[in-house]
Amino acid sequence: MTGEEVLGDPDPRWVRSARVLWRQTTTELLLLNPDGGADDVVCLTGTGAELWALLDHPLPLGRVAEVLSQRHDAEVSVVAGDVAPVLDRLAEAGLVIRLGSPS
Amino acid sequence: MSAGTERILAAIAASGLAGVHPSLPEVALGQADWRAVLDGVAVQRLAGLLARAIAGGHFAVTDDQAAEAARLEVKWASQALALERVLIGVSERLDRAGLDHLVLKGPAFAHRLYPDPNLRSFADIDLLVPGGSFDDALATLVARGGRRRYDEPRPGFTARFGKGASVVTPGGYEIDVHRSFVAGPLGQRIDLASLFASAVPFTLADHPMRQLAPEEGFLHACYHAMLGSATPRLVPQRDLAEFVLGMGLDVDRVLRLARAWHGQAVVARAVALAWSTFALPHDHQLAAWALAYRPSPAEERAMAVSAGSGRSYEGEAVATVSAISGTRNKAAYLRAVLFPDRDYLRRREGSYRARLGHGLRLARQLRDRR
Repeated sequence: MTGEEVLGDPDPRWVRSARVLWRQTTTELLLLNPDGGADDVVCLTGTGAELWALLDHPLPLGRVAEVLSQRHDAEVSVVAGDVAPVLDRLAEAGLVIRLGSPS
Repeated sequence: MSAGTERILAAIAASGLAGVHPSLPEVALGQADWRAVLDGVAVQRLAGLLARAIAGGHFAVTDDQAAEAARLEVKWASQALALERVLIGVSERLDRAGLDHLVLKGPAFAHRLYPDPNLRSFADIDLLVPGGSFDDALATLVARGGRRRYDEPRPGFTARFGKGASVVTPGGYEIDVHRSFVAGPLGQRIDLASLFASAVPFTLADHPMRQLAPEEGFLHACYHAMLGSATPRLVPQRDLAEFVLGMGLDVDRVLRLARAWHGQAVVARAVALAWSTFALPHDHQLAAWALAYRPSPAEERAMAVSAGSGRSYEGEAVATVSAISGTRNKAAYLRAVLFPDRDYLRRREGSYRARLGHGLRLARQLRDRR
């Protein structure tokens, strides 16, 4: 965890871990944490790959949901509900980092 | 492999190159032809380029063929990630041990030369280490469970005269640890110390590493294209085309280095081959030089003993002795190739008789040269 990561922050921002290896194929986005224990490559498709593209700089969940909802003509709250568990799983795998909200 | 399949594979390897319009199938291939192309793509490591050509609408396929190509692309991309993870671990271990090393080919070229690293597949990791720390680097990798392939005739031979050795990790990944780009006389002529002095940094997933400077990297691509396998492969040719067309090489520096390394014929042949394979425009300075270059008889001999059907153990050894500087070094080289360790003989050749045959032929060739 970096010094900036704050687990209890009510409006954290999310960003790709700079330590992640990744490849964008024509059909899937493949991610691998070089510090991970297993050889499992994480595959993202569709909006998962879009999410990864958005996280090249830190964004709060609300902003991510706004962008994706505009692109896909969906309710922001619905998108946020879908994205939140994905972010949590990516964070558990060490692929994205949860940062404190900007001061 | 049919000429038609070879033409399609060369066109796949050329796809996306600036100014090149390769002739790819405009109608989906029949199943037998498609199978031959897909097998060739796997052997030539062109999965990323094929998938991109299909996705861009430049290669006509059926839905099933598109799905097969996509699966092959994902397989090679997953392997690239796994290999890059191995590279990061190895590089960190060598750094901790204070052992200098440069990343060659695969990941270094994928991230430097190509607009998308997924276009450059690779099947192993290649490192260059100084001869003086070669054995320590090997020991560092073996200490973590790696298994060394390719024995050496005497301890310290590879560190002093050889091309390198391979280590297979416990996970089955191959790491080629190079002392030089090639074996034989051409490998002896390369100024290896200068490669480390001019090396440039790059990062792989936030991990600092180093690779060859652009001109040295291009020369390595040429050596690999011409001498890396019995039949020149397509990806090394694509690498050197990327260097020439996309890197803004200092051509004068390239030619100065090639001359100093006695490698002009290698560079000329490699560039001419790639230009012919990919039908590249001849108006580039380096291409014009390569097409006009006429190798000397000595250069022809050095090429012949280093690659192709003319390659032989004895011929390479004789030519290598000539290229090694210093009487003591020559003597040490000859002693190792003529009188290797018993263990090496037992593992490599099975008996002294076979080695004796090599030794007699080598002695005869050395005598004939006097």
